[in-house]
Amino acid sequence: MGSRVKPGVVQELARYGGDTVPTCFNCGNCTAVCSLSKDDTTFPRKYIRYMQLGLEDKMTTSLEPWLCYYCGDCSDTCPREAEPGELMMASRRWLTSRYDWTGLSRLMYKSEAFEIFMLVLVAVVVLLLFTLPSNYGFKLLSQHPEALTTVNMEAFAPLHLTHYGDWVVAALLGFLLLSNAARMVFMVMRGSGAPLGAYITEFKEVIIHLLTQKRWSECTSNTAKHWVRHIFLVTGYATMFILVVIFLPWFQRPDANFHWTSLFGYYGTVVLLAVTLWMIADRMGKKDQIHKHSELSDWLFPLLLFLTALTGILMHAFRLLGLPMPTYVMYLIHLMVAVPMLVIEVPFGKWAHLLYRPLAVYLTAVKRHAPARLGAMAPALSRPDH
Amino acid sequence: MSDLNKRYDGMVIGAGIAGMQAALDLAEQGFQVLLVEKDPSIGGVMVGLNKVFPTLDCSSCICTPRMAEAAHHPNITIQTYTEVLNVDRNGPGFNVKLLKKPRYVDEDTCIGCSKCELECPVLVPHEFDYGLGSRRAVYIPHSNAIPQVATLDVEHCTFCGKCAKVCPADCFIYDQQPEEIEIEVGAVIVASGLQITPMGAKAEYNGDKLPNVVNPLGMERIQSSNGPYGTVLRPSDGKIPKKIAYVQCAGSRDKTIGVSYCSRVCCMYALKQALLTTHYIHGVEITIYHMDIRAFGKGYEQFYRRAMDEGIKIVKGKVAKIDETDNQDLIIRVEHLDEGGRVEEARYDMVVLSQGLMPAWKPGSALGIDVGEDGFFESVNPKIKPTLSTMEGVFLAGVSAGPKDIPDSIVEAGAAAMEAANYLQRTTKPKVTA
Amino acid sequence: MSDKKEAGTNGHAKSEGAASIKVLRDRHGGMSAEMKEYYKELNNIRKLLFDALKSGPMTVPELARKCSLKSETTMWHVMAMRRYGEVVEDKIQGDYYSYRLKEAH
Repeated sequence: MGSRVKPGVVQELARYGGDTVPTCFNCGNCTAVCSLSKDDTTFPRKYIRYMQLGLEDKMTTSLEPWLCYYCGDCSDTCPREAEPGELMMASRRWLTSRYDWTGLSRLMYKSEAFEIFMLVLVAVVVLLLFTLPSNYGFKLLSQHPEALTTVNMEAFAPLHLTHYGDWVVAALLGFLLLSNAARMVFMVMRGSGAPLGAYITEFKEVIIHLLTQKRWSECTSNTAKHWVRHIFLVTGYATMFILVVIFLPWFQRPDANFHWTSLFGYYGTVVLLAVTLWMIADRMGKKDQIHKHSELSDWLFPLLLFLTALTGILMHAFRLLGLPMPTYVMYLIHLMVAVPMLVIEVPFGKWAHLLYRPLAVYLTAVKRHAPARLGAMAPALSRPDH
Repeated sequence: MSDLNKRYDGMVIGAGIAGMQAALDLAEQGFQVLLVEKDPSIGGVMVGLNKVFPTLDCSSCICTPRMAEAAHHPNITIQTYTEVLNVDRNGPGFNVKLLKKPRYVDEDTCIGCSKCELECPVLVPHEFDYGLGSRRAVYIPHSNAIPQVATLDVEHCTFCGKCAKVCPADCFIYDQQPEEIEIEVGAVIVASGLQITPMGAKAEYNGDKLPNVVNPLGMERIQSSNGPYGTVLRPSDGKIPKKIAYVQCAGSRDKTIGVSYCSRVCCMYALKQALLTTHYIHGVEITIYHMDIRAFGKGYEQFYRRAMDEGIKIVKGKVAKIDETDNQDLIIRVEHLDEGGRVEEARYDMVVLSQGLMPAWKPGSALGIDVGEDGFFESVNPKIKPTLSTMEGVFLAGVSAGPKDIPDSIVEAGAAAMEAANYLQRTTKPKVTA
Repeated sequence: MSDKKEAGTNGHAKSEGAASIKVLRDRHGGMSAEMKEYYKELNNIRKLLFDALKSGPMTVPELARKCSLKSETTMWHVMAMRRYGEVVEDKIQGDYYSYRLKEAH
């Protein structure tokens, strides 16, 4: 099977933040310095070679970019200063857009304006939900004058309706993310010849890596900080997600009385606030290699999370203080941040990596069960001068 | 001590192979030449090399005759152990200020008998052997040194006074002082030569920490019969190495260490050293890890083929890391580009870092000629007049103007001498017409 | 260099008696603390190595073990002794030469 060359891949990658493809002279330093690069999965050099040659097929079917955790060793030591680590990052953005069947991801990565437009659009939808219907939001509130003096969430966002909304968001998010992930599996595994049994025996990899991201800890260079805080972030994020999607009737109670779900809520909030602030500070400092080239999508990641947590806890505070209007308004703002984040960023943006990374580890393991093929790696790929 | 004339037609800075050639070519045309060298001996880097590529001539055997020629030429005055402090324009010529460093030995009466060196109680890592060998605090750099006179390294002196006591020629001058010398010259040829990229430049290679990671010039000394070990051994424990790796572009073509250019000679010296090692050590296995082999000169490609035919392994892939095992073997990590990108960790007894060439002398304002981005002296017209510096009357030769090998340095030195001669003819009355 | 030597420049030290080493020592403020330490260590190591070699030829790793020295330090000193004619190569043992003291004549 030959490979088709697609001219223009280099220019396209540049729009995803990978503008140093032509700088690379394919020496292999990046691959050899990378502690995660071993056995049959070596990167970044080979993947950058695919980009240089425009081998789009190879690019879309490779999982290597997802196996990189961007410790930055390769970029630090690259003799051409071609930023191989950032090229892996750009490839992840590019791959995210390839997996996405709606095409939204591609538009968002290529145009920051479009990404912001999409976020605002969903926020406006949320705003309209609270302003137009008579049985929800401000119109409902106007029918309950007592709710203007004492906080009563039922008079602003009745739980049964909110919980439905929750499920709609979760279903939408789940459908988009899973359908994209299914496309990823299909694109990557088509024709790999991996036996079906392998998909079952290796499935534990998805769970393990989803929960631990433990490959990250195998990076040698100063990544413990990133790994540990990332784990915390995931626990905080997962806690809040579960609280909202499953435990909302207890978490969002009409009264301000204490319930055990609040403990989890506090944990999630503290972790989210602390970690996202730390991430934002690091991105601003640009000291670590991983933070030298942050794109809008990389900024939105901690920023939206931070705002979600902040507005959530502010709302909670207003409610405890017995301030009805601030509570309702903050609740609305909270949703105007959280909902766009969930339906736009999770399936189409940087967040999708939460599923793609463990999937990639899993599929890599499955691929190993495929019968060996001679000449799987064309030797010509390694010769930039021929 | 200054028994120099007040004026010379030409001054050559640096008495390596390029400087000696330039001085000889200028002197042959009847000009009076002052050849200034910062080290105790002339000969530069070349006299310390083992053999030269691609002919495999013994380097010191072809270099020392040039040294002797320069030393004995009636029109050449050699001033060793002397730094150039300042070169100032004065009309078409220059006022030059030199600093003669104290040797604490009378150069004219020392007979080079080495008695002082043999008596001296202090051992010091020898610069000529790149630290692998030793010398005494008072020493003659090597058996081919010119002048054959002792130099006392006062930093390592114990002030025991034995050297003067055993000196049969009574030539120690303990109260010698550094001396500034001012002269006038009509033209200057800069042949200040090279240093190799520092061994610690790329931290991942641990070149400054691991004893068995050696620099290529040190390897030349190890291979030389008059070298520090007399035979090829590894520095950590004297083991006869059976597996040796060469890491190409270890100090060149790498922006992270500020040397983005190709140093031109490393591929060839690595191939040459590798080939010779197979002659010195039976059954030795040598691998050269490279990004691409640049065998650009006459007979070089043939030499490359010969090395491969004789069993030198050539592997495409830039080495990324070098670490040490408990017994001081070395583990290198590299991606085999020609084998589907397989990452390999391979063990070696010894690793040679093919370091690049950098300019040895950075005069700054002491000599007001332009320096390029790469640190080498700039040429006004690199294509048509490569030996002309950006200052009229100052000419460039050898590696000071950019990385080059020995034949190219010699050719350029001749060209620089010719340009200098033309300049002197134009600006001064011909000195000698005979 | 030049065959003419003018009196009163280079030659003065000779005819009027060499300046004593004291002049040099005083001018440089004697040995630096660092140099003193270096010299002491140098002599200690050399003594260890000489004593060890009196019991017979040894390779560098053997010597290093016997004298509890770092092997690269041992190597450098043995090579220095070799250069100045204090030791010579003996037999090859595996991948290593052994070295023995050169008999005084």
